[in-house]
Amino acid sequence: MTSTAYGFHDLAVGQQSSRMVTFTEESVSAFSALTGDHTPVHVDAQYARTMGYQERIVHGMFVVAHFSTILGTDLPGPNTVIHSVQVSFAKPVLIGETVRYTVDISRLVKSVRVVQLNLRVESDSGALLSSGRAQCGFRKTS
Amino acid sequence: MSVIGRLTPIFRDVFGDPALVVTPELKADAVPTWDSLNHINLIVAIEAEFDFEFTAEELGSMTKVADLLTILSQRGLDRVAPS
Repeated sequence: MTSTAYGFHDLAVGQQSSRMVTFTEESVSAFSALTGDHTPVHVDAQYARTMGYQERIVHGMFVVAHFSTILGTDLPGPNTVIHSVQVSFAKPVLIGETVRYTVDISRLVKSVRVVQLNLRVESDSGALLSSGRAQCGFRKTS
Repeated sequence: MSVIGRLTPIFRDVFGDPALVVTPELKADAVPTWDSLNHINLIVAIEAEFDFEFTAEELGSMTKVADLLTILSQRGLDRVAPS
């Protein structure tokens, strides 16, 4: 997928972008290695079952990390930087699961060229897994 | 509610200081967490509270809270009750 280099005035409230992401064994292992987070619920299936999960669950911070991709690459895109992200985890993402990421613009603040967005992650059946908000800003030179 | 009364919870929330006292003479250098990002957050929050948009000239003219109060007064927003 190619980047969309929007300018502030190209954007509109309600505009949205989506991506599908699969959390593979390899990607979750790589995140564990990169961050040093080897918490058993992420790496030990038997332990995860004792906690009531049918499979190991993906690190919540790894779930959030993919918003970096969609915000930075798709909407509002590479002319912006992320100011803040707030996310709640309603349900876990299981290793091997494919989920849909969606962001939509909730507010545009022209005076300081700020974009506020709603965030959500849904399962392939449409169940809400995570939701939140983000704020991004255009740099003065873009 | 006074304008300062409406601004105070915004300033306290943005700058993370529940005891912050907002006065007309308050400037950015008196608040340790008043950095460039929180300045943007402050503008965003004030526009939402008073339902208007600052102009570039207004943003450039603000050096202390008194300047903000002047802008709100000039726009007639100091007489509007919160919804």
